[in-house]
Amino acid sequence: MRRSPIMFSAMVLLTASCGEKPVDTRANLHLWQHQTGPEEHEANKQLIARFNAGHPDLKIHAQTIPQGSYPQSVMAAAMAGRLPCVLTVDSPMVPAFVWAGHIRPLDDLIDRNAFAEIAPAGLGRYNGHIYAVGQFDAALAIFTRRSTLAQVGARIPTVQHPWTREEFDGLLGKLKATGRWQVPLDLGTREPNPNWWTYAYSPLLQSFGGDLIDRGANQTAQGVLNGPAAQQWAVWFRSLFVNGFARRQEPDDQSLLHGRVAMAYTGNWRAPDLEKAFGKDLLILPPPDLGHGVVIGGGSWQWAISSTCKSPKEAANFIQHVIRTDEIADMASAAGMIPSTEAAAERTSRFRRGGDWRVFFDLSRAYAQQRPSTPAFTTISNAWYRAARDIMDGTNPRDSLDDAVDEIDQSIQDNGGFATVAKGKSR
Amino acid sequence: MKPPLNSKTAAQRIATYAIVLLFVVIFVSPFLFMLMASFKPNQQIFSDLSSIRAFLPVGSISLQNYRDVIGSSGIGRFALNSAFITIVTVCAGLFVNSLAAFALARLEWRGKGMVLGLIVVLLIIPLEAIAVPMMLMVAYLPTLGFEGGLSIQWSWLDTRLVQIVPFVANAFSIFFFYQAFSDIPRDFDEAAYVDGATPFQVYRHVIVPLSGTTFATVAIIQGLAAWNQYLWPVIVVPSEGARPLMVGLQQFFRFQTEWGEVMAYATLATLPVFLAFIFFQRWFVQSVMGSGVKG
Amino acid sequence: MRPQWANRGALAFLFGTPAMLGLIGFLVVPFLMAIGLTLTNQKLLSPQDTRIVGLSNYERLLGLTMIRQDSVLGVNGDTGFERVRDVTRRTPRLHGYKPLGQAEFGSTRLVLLARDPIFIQSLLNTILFAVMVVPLQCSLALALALLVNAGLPGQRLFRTVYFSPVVMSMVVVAVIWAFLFNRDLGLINQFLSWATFGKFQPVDWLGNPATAMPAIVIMSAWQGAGLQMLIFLAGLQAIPKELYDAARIDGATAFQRFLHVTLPGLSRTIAFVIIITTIAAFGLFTQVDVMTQGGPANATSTVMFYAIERGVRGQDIAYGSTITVVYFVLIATLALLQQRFFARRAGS
Repeated sequence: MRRSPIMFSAMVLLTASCGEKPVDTRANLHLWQHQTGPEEHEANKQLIARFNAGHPDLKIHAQTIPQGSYPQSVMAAAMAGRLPCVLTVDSPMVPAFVWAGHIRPLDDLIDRNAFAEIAPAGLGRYNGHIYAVGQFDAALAIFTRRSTLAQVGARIPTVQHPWTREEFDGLLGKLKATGRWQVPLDLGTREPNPNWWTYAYSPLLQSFGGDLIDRGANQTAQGVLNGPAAQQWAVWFRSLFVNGFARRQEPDDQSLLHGRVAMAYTGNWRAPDLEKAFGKDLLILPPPDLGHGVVIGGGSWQWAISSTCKSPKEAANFIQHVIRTDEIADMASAAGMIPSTEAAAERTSRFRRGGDWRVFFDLSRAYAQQRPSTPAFTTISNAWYRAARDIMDGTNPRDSLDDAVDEIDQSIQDNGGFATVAKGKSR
Repeated sequence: MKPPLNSKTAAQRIATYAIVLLFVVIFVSPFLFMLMASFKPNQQIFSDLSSIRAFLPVGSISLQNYRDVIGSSGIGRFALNSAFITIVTVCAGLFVNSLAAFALARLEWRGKGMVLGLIVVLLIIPLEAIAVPMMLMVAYLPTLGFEGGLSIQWSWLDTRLVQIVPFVANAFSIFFFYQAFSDIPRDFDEAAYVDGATPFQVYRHVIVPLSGTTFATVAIIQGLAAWNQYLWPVIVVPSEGARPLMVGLQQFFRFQTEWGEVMAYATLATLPVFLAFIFFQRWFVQSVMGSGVKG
Repeated sequence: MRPQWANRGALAFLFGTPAMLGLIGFLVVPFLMAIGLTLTNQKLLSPQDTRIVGLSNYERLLGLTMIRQDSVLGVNGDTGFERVRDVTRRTPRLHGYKPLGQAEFGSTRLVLLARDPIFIQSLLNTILFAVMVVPLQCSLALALALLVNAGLPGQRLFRTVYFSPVVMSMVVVAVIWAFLFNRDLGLINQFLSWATFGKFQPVDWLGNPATAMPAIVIMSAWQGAGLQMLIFLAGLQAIPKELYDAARIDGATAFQRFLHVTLPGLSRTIAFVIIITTIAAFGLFTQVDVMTQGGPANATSTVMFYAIERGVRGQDIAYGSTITVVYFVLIATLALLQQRFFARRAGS
């Protein structure tokens, strides 16, 4: 066997990969952020660069972690005792991270007044503490075209006067009857992602009067996720697919852009593309009021400090920098996301009063509800995803919802109700 | 080698050829789709999808996807990680597994049958079956760290090591070597022993030189597995430092996936193995054909 | 004269140690750990202490029971049966059980209940996958081997082409095929529609419970057949040419030669190929994870997928381990039976 050339290249690789060791006297602050779109990524880089410029004694090491495996990555890093000092957390995951001991309260380090201006959906609260804070939020809306609604003579709803369920169902029927589109509505059900399903469709359930869990004590889903309102939701949701109002899986996320559908239920991040294509014809509308008021999901990715962080003061400095009005405004402008504070919104051209995308800000302030604040969120989200997907595919809705309730209640019971355990246990 | 052609009519031969070519189309088209899509912008991938254009370099063709992938994804570092992991796993694996197979096939000792039985049983445990307990285990294994001077770290998570060591010893490789070594006539060893060789010398100078193709086969099979690792590193390697190539693909799956970039990344990730395969193929093909299935 | 003869055992031990250490450390020990974990309620990173819970994980995984229901008069005067979930939720003994199947006999019906129907469905799905993919992949591989071995010009190139999917990462293969299987734009539907002059109704391959698993079967066979093709080629070339000549002299047709010379000559190869394909089939994970996430309606959930889903993503290590331990016992039994079966066939 002539193995020497291979061995040699292995050695080269070994030395190459171990050789990165610049001499640096600055304190290190490790930071993890989830993978985002290129604009947000670039804006984050600049944010960090500006912070670095103001803190010459600190060096930030930022790493990007793919979103799909972010919870696993945090888990693995926590087990290895290698969590970075500062990390982003998807807001519904905050309670789970707190419960597992990953992150520490921000209000121990930063005066609570600093968070006074932040919208409720921009704060990750649990057990009376603030654990995470976000620069921005997202909002779901119905996107369509003025000309489309004019064609069927539909009313253009406003944030104050959204469509009722009857209006919405009637509109779908009329759009379907024109035969101009393959289906009237793209609901976004092609995404095989439990968190998306929770974010996008549990607000519809809430609008029917149901919920994912009894939010009083967060101890059971019985009667809420499988009660009469939830069953009504299920029948309605299924009917969208049976009636040919929506398809379970659009081939891509360009359905509205390519004219395959008349309306799309999607997030503010799609606004730039659609605006470019449709110009003034684009309408951004509130989701329908399905009986108990409009509900949209609130809470996006937020910044938190890990429990194992050895330089919490520096980390807190970074968080304080992140929530400066100018930084929030810059990020919101660059990423096209809804700023967490009114003051920052006024500094952007898009979200200030009268701006093109102000509707998202108003929607978010008026209708955003956060997902259940419990460490059981992942279980709830998975159970909900399975149930909703199965209902879409035609299973018995009562059975599917009961199964989801059983799974959630079982998990809460298994974990002793997720009662907070006294700190002090290492790992 | 060749069954006589003379008995076949021209029509039969043309029919056979047609079937061969049909299979070629079936086997090549997904590759072709990947390659062509990697040159196209996202929208065009979808608009071309339902026609033959999906397999042709038409429309707006550019290297933009490749530029974006190379510019933004850290693909260079991931490729280096994967290359390092693959090369070390293969080199160590060839040595360790062939040596064990040598002991099983060419040395007489008590308990051999039992060990062989154990290896056959281990063949059927897939990685997925033990991933969870193994993760718990490697989380608390000691390793040397280099960050801020030499130190012992109590975890293998987030390292290249954790992607190599568990996969060096491989039941399938041992079994494969064992079968190949068993087929080599015993007289060769005996002659060497008569000349005063030690068993290791017999291994080194008799068995190994006679088994080049087997080594190539095991190298390719174990190398492919190492290069294409996915589930394990997703679980145990959170950060970028030790991330391998296939896990890097994940970063393109987000809202509004840029499929062109996915395809460009996939092409770049496949290319090295494909070239390696072409390069090794004669050796490898002979080997699987020569030694695979005597059992 | 020859000291090394004396201490073979010690030497063998020395040679085998590195590999055995690796196998024991990274297969046997984790597996034993898994067995231990099944008796606990271990979660990943729970701040609560782990407790020993006996066999309750096994009970939750495998619990099966049967109930009998008599029909009742409904509000509208029609007869029917009480909803099964209403019964299970009311009866403490049946708490957590879900219906798996039922049979009606006039005014009574029997309902089979399981604690974890998804596991049982995953198990059935895995078996279904193996039952479909093993014959398909093995016969495809044999067909390819016969074609490559037919002595046509360019056969080396064909061999390379047929083998090439094997070198690709399954993740990449699955991503590409997901495009081809797409209902509206995918080439597979387009082709079928074209080939049947538009009569073919487009199928949502991965979105329909009836077609999702067959779609994964087709893709898996495509990806894996190349390796088995090479093994068959080896077997084919080991068949003495004289046998074919003799058969030809006896006037055997090509098909008869295949049946009476090729197949018997390949019997050991076929057994080997079937065994390795079966082992691989029972580990089905990546394709499902990338293409369907077990859906639609759990139609493609396999045991390994379910174990990872519960154990890693659901962070319920103990339960995930229970799934894999039970599964190992099942496939080990199966492998043993299969080996016996083929050993006897080959021996006779």
